Amino acid sequence: SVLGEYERHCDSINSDFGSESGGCGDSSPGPSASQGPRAGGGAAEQEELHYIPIRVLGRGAFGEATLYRRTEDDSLVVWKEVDLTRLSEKERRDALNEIVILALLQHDNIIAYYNHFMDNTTLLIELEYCNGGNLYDKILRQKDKLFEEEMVVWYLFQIVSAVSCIHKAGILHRDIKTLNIFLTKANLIKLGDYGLAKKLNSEYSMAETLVGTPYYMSPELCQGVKYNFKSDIWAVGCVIFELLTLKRTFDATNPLNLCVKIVQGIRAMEVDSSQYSLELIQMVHSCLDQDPEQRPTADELLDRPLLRKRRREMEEKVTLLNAPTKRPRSSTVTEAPIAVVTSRTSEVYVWGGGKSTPQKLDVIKSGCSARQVCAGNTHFAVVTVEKELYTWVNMQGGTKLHGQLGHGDKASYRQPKHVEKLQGKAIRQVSCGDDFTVCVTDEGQLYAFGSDYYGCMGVDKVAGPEVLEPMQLNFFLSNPVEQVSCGDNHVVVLTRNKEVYSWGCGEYGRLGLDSEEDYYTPQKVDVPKALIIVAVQCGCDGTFLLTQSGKVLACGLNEFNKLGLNQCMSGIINHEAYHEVPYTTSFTLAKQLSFYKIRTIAPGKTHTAAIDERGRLLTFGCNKCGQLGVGNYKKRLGINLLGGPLGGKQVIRVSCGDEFTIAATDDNHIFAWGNGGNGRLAMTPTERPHGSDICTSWPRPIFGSLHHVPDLSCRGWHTILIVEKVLNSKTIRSNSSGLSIGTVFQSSSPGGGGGGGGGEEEDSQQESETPDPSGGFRGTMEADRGMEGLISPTEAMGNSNGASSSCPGWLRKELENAEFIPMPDSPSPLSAAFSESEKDTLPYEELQGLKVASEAPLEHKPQVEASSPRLNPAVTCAGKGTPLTPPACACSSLQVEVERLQGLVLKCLAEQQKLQQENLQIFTQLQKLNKKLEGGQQVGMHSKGTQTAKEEMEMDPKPDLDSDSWCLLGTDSCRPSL
Amino acid sequence: MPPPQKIPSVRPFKQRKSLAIRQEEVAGIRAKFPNKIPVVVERYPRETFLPPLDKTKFLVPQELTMTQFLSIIRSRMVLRATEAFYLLVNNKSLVSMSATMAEIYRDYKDEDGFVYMTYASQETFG
Repeated sequence: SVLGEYERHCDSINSDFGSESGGCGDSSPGPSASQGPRAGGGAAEQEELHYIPIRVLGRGAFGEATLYRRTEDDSLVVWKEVDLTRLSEKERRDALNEIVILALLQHDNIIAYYNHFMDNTTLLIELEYCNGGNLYDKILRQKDKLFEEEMVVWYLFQIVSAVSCIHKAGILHRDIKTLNIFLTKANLIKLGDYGLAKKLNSEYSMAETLVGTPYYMSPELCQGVKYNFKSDIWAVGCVIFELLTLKRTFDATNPLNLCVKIVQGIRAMEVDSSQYSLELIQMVHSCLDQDPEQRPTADELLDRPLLRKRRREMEEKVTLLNAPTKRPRSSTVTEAPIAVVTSRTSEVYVWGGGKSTPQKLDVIKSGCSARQVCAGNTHFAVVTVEKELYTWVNMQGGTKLHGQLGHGDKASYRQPKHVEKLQGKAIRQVSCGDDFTVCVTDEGQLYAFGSDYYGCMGVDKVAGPEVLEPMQLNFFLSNPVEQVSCGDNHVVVLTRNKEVYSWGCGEYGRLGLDSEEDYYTPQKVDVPKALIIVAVQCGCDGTFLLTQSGKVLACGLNEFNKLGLNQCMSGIINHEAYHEVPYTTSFTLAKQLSFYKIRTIAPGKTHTAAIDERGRLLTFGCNKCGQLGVGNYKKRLGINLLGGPLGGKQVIRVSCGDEFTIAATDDNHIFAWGNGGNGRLAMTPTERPHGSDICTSWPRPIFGSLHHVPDLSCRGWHTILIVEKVLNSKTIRSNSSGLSIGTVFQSSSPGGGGGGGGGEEEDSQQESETPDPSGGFRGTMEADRGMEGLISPTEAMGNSNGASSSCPGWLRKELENAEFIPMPDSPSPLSAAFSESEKDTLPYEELQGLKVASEAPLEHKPQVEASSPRLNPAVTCAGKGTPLTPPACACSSLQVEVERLQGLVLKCLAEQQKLQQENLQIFTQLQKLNKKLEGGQQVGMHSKGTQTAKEEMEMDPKPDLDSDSWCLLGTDSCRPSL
Repeated sequence: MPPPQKIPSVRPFKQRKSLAIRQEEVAGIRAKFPNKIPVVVERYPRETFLPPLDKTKFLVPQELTMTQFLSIIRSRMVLRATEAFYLLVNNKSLVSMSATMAEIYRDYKDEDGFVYMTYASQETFG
């Protein structure tokens, strides 16, 4: 019964963390089943994951590696395809070997394993994608320009900590080379390609087979001696040497010659000692020692002063850089994820500005497909799925550019061109202004380029009138940006902590800063605290904010009621009841729109369109060319809910340009209406309401066949959109046979906590996904058995093409065994590392405590208290001071475990109470603040009514800044206006 | 062309700022640029055809003639040659096109130190 209780605790704690529930789910269906759907772990029984293939990355020894986009979280993953039928028995084992190894390894510097699927006889392994290429290319790109020492140390640290992690897990990589070391855009190292890696059962066993790339072969391998951990260290040394010299450490024209050179230690060239510190050079030389015994281990390398003094700092950096891409593993015991692979064509079309036929862009197509598009008045910008930015001009005439393309010059590139200056930055979103561009990276950093005439670069005009290359805006270094939007001459930004900043031209109050001044640095916008802003959207001279509840706030010029701020008495259309707002300098709630819950808003030049939560399209503003889509050209004072051809359809995307609107519906139609001049509508409309202009006032379907539109942008006379067509869709139902290695590993550890005596750490390590390099190695020892048991069923399956799942029964048996088999004597390095990891993981335990405190059901308390008297004697028996010595029997270790859990639960309860109290305090404070705020708002409203009072207030602000908004004519600083 | 719509008026410069502020502004800019004339160019309130300008305050070299100034403003508005455009000083007078800005400043400057100009597409108001 003690065991049962322990399991229940385990399960409830595990499930609270949203990671894999403890394997023996059938023995304790209660807690985990009652949790309901959660975010992280995917509680759905048959989880469906959707993937879109992007392009083939390369061909490995076993099969193709293809880049996929996972639509659930819009992330990129690599699928390694392994055709099991074509493989020999040994190769098949190697492929499985790789999964086993990947599943074992959880480290920030190691390619993460996410999932795997079986498609008939093809094994598909889902892996992390590194968008920065590999180290080999990086060295080539360096073009003989040596790396900074700091950079080499940063790489060295990451490589060594990755190697240290795999060595602790008892794995030899056996193929460490620059080609297998991948980089992310943020310069994070990821060690990958475990096709050759081999698991050694102990430190002393040697792998005998001759593998590895000749260039990185160690002398002992050349001489036919067995491969061991030190051979990996040799390869690390070669890699670092290559980083320092930019040349292969050993090079020769034929393998034999190479071997001779390696054995004799004749290096191609030596490290430039004037460039790098002696310490670093010595470190590399020690790795390249001819005698394997003399080479340091990975841990010893980490302990060298060079790395040790910056270790914590670098570890933090690794964790920080990893945070955006981090995600929990998805595979669990109970569910085998179903992958739905949909291949699509993805194309980008542009039209307008004189050309009414949509033109397909050849540069941006499948394989390099677009993820987001943005049109500016003079240029277009596209972000591809690989997060690269492309820009080019769209205008017909010879308008002068101001560097808004970011290519470092003012040339007019008429075809999409990759912004190479942003190499290494993963661009998430881009927005185009009139003559500048602003983009946001994955890390939330802002880069701007183009004209700084209105201070849109946000650097107080220190960078000169034109910024030709992307320039980082340091203002947001510690305050990452969520979203950016540009108007013609201003920029508005939403940060991750939901603050709004604006800068640029302030005319008509478009910055929402209660003035019409221009600001050259980001200014925080006062938004009522009660409102949670989820999106910002700039029109050409106004700004919209969308709140979480679907309300719209607007400021700027309200000409034609394009901000929707005018008040109209319902039903009565006469001027007495119609209150016109010419412009507003602070964010004002658009009351006319408050009837709808707005999810998307698209401002055009003279009108605005919005989509509400039910997919209905709303338009308001000027209607002189029928751009509101209501079927006539009459002036409209209020908000128009579009029926007609759009009636009953869900609108998914809309964008407004100069007197026209383009919308896409969920049934894959694209509609256009408004002014058809200059090819804006991609068709030739027939109505001539005012003589000269050809317009259409009803939404008309365009674009021939059906297309899904992931993104769409109109500005001025131009439109750019992404269209996708589904080619075919395939569902891969992997049979959850013995391949669920990750789960074996995961699930065996809590159940098998009987051994080792160090069981305290491992739960917290695995569940909280810590980057601790020593994480989970004790689990590894358990998994040894798991894997031996595992490979054979899979092989069997490979032969018989998907035998039914043998896993649960086998797994259960394995687990049952694990309870009572005492842990074998763990090899010495492991236990040493254990004591280290203990203190490392302590914070996570606290974290765990917090989490549990907030979620744990109260019923746990009586359970624990009831069980504690029974256990107390046993606990004292076990002795508190000896958690590291392996206990003689499973029973006592279990008691230790139980004791730990009890302590944890008690701590959690205390924590919970504390939190509740804090909550109460915060709540009361919040209420107080809210009351104050309401009072403040009323005062604000009041003052707006009295114009004269406000006038006085407006006049006050600093006259100094004001004089800067002068337009200087006839001097050099004047923008060439002719 | 479709009939132009009435644009809600934005309050004129003089009403947006008090005399003291405007005087201070002129003093500041004259000190910085003694050779430049501060000019406020605004749209005639009932103007329906011409677009609003992105700037209202202009610093103009003294030696610039009215013709040159006019063409600069025209180009900022991207007007075609066929479109009429008149600049009125102090809201009433059409000045000689060959007059320099210095002369105009001497004759027409306001009490705050700015020269006020209004632009319209028709030469007579009313």
